[in-house]
Amino acid sequence: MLEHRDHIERLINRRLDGALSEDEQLELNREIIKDPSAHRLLEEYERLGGLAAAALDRALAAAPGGQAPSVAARQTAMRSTAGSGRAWWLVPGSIAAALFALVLARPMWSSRMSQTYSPFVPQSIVPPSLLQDVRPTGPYQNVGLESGGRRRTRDIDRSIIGVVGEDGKVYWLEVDRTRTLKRSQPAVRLTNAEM
Amino acid sequence: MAIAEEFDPEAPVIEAIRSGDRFAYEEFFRRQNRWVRGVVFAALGDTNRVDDVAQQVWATVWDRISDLRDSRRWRPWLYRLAYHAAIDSGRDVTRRRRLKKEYSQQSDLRRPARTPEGRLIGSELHEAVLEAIAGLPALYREPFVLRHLNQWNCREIAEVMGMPIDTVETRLVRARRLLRESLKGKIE
Repeated sequence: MLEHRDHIERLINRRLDGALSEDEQLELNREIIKDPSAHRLLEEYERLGGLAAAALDRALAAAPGGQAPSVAARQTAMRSTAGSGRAWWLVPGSIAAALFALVLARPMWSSRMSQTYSPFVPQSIVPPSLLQDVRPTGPYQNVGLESGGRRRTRDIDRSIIGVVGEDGKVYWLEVDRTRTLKRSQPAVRLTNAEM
Repeated sequence: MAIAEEFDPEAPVIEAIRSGDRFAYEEFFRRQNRWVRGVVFAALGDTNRVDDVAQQVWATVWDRISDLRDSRRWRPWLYRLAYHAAIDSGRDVTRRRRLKKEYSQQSDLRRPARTPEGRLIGSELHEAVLEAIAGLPALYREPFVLRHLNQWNCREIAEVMGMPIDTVETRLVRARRLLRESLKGKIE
């Protein structure tokens, strides 16, 4: 009985999919006349198919103004490189140019560092007079005096990175890297008078 | 006779796209975008991401049209592009379960009011049907969507999905049976 029911359901599905042979069509027609439940099942599946088609169409039909992704830029890029055997050097050339620009820009960053450097004066045990003598002109500072005349100095290296934001502005990121060194000799700079 | 052996009016369009014809590409997009979106939805079971993934698919079509060796086999090729783009967009079991759970919770909140007889009307009915389709296992949802969105027959679906016609028929029967059960009492 269950197998027969499955068979009828399969015939109904084949009819909905337009795949019924003539013999199957006759068999299904006989079954529909004989069994009202088979007729109801066919009507239910037909209605379900119509609703599914309408729901899918409504949810997935592309907007009338829908457009393919722009290919103009891609096309230009393809044509500019297509057929050009000399284009292979573009990539390494670009990298080399970027590196060269980086090397050129470094001195400018360094000068900017020295101009904007504002020494941090710690609340240390170093006498103010000594601190004045060794006030750094570069990006380092004395942070302490140890026994035996050894001095601790702290080097500060500042990296500056420019990042272009989403709003088109350039944002400068400044990163300070600090290193503390122990020196055997006091890092005293001679003044002009002493020289 | 297989689809690929018949005359295919899209084959010259494919050739034109291959040679870089942007207008042929846009025409092809207009004609085929509908079922590509259907494939993406069928793979994802989620209408929210269909637009994004379909755009990715069409960008890939332009970029990789040269990979299509036999221009008569464009339909299975496009199906695979769409299917894999949908998969790559993040379909995995865990995510699907989570999305399905979230979706069913949202659906519970916005579940439309029913008539006293418990039936749904108009757009509410469409939403309920779409939700039921989205809730089908992907195995059954894919042929079902291709059948009802594009009115393809089983042979066309089998050709595109690369499976026997009998398998497509069986999956359609099961899809309809599951849908009928999940929508019982709502569509009479």
